[in-house]
Amino acid sequence: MKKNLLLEIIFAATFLLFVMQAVNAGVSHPLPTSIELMKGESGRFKFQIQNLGKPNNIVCGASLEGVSPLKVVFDEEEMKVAADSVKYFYGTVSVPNDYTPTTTGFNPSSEQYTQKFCVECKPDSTNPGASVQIRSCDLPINVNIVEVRTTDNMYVIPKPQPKIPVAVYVGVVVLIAAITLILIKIRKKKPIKPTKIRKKKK
Amino acid sequence: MAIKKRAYLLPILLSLIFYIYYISFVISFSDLGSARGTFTTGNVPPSAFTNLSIQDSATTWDNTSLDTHDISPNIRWLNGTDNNGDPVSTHVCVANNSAYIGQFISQSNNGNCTFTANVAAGTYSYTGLSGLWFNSTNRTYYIALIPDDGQANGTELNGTLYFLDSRPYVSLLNTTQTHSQTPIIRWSVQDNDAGGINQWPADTLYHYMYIGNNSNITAYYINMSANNDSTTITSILPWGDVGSDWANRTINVTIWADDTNLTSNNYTTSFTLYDYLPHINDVQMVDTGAFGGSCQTSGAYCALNPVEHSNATVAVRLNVTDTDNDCTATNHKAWIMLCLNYTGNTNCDETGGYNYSWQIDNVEAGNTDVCILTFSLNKTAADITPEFFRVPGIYKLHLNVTSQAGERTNLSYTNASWQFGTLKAVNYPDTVILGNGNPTLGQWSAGTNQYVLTNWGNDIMALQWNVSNPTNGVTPWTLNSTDFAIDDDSTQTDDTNNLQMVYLNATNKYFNYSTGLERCTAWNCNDASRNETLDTYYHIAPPLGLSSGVYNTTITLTLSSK
Repeated sequence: MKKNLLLEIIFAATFLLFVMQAVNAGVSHPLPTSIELMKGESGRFKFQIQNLGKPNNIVCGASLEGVSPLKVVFDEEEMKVAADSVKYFYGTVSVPNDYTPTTTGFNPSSEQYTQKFCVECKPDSTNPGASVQIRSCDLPINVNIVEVRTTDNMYVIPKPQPKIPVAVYVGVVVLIAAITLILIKIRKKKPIKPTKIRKKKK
Repeated sequence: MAIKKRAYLLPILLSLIFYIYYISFVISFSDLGSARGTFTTGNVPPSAFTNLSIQDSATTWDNTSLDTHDISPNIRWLNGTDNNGDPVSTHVCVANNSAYIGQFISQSNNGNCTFTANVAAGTYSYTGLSGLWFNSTNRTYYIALIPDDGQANGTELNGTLYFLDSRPYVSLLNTTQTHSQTPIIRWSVQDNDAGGINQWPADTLYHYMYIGNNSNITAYYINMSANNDSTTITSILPWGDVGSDWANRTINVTIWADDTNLTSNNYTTSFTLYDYLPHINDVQMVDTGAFGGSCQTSGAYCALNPVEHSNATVAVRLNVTDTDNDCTATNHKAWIMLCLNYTGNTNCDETGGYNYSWQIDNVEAGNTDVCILTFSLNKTAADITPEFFRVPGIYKLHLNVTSQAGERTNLSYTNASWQFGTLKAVNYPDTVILGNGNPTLGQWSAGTNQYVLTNWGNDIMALQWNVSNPTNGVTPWTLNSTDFAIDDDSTQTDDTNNLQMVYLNATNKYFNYSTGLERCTAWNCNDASRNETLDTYYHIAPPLGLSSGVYNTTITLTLSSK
């Protein structure tokens, strides 16, 4: 029995090698650092993921921390950053229409909320071994909910509208053409005017 | 016989008459002293010329008033008569004093004549009297034409020549203001001697000019000479002193004209050399992508993100109005200065206090009143842009925009602000080995390999660690909170450094300084007095029963703000 245990220890010691691969993406705090919104309004924000000096492409995801009355949506769920590059990612924060200020009549005239989120990245291909993932948290989206807007927010590019596939355009054209043809056929098949029929009867 | 006698009589009679005439002629010339009486030689001097005319324009002659502007005039006259039919030549004498008139018969070639000429018989004109000159607006000369039949002079024809000259008059400089340092300026000049009757031939005018400032009229341009009423000032006029909106300089001008006889009065006037100084409408700054808004409205609109262990990228868009409509990279120089307002560093302009400064060297729009200035290449680390370890915050920025004359003294538009963002970033080796790389089951394998975690961002960070259960796909190693540890010492039993060893499992555990992982103060992150780096070692004690193989695990480091 002791002999077996000794053999097992020696065997394991020969092959147990733990290697970790690190993913050290830097993540910037979102900009603007404060967004002024009224009830029902939305604002845009952006943040950077930096994958500089790294040989691998990475894939990151964002997750919200804690609870706030704000609604946050990221433009991309899967945030891909090429090796040795920096990329901005964007999101939208909204104040719900049914938001109720905690102080009556916005007194003081604004209420500030922070919705924090985390960004976690990993290589886009999995290598054997132990990996280290850096998770950047406490990334704050600060929103000042106001009764009346006092300033414009920093300009952040709007969310790109999803492209309508070419097939949809083609379908619409075909549909219009079909309807036109049907209408033409119906007109051609129109019965003889009743007045003429009446005359013939006479 | 009688016919023969008559034939002798006629020759004898003619011989007698000839003899008597011959004797009387010889006696009269050989013995005057003794002879008495008068005789006539048979020559009569020619009569005086008439109708003296002078050319007073390209096509007209005047014989009533001998006035002309031509100082080398052409004259003509009508021949008189000579009773003897002799050819009559003409002596011409022009004098500047009427006292000499009447003396020309005997003094036709003496020095009292300013101009003399002998005109051959048969010619009754002279082209180009010479040697005459003006000495004032008008000049009077006196002329005598003396007929000469070769034996005697006839009565001279006298006349008075009036030479007329008008003084040129300079006025009306067309330039009241200019934006050119070498402007073309024009002026008006009036000279009545323009080619009409008594104004012919037209004068050639020479213009002279002094240009200077108030204190020194000859400072900039001296004694220009030209034969037209405009010139390009080739001497570069200096711009004026800058003010709140423009830089003006009064350029004094004195111009006069000369028709080679008369000089005009000085025409003294001035014009303004102006330069509207650029007015900053807007400045925007971003690292990459779309600009966020005006830095003059809020520094938050002009944010740069730190770049991990590197320098920020900077793009700038400067909107400037120049009423002169001459935006070019040559005419306009723009600089942007970013400041980091640390304690005691409150000023932020070209005199000091700035940490970064770059010339905005590219003019995107020219020849309009709005200049858009950008960097020809966005600024990066090579241009010494904000470093990753700078403290996040909103800081001042200053703009210096000049046109040809300089920068406005009204600097209210030159100050704005910018924001340096916050970055969470660390440096950690790509690969690490757990334990000593040769673990023995059931025993601690001290992490003899040191892995240094360094703050490569500018946030002060708390560090939480967790690790998933390692597995080789066959046998899971369920961590029990006592067999996998992170430490800042190389053995699990040693605790000489700051932090105590922390056992890791799937639950987040803090392993960091009480200060957090501080931001670096320099590029090398080697300030020993600060916790800019964290040494890590991984000690493992794989339990007995694990099968051989490569074990996969995920260690998650969560960075949060301290």
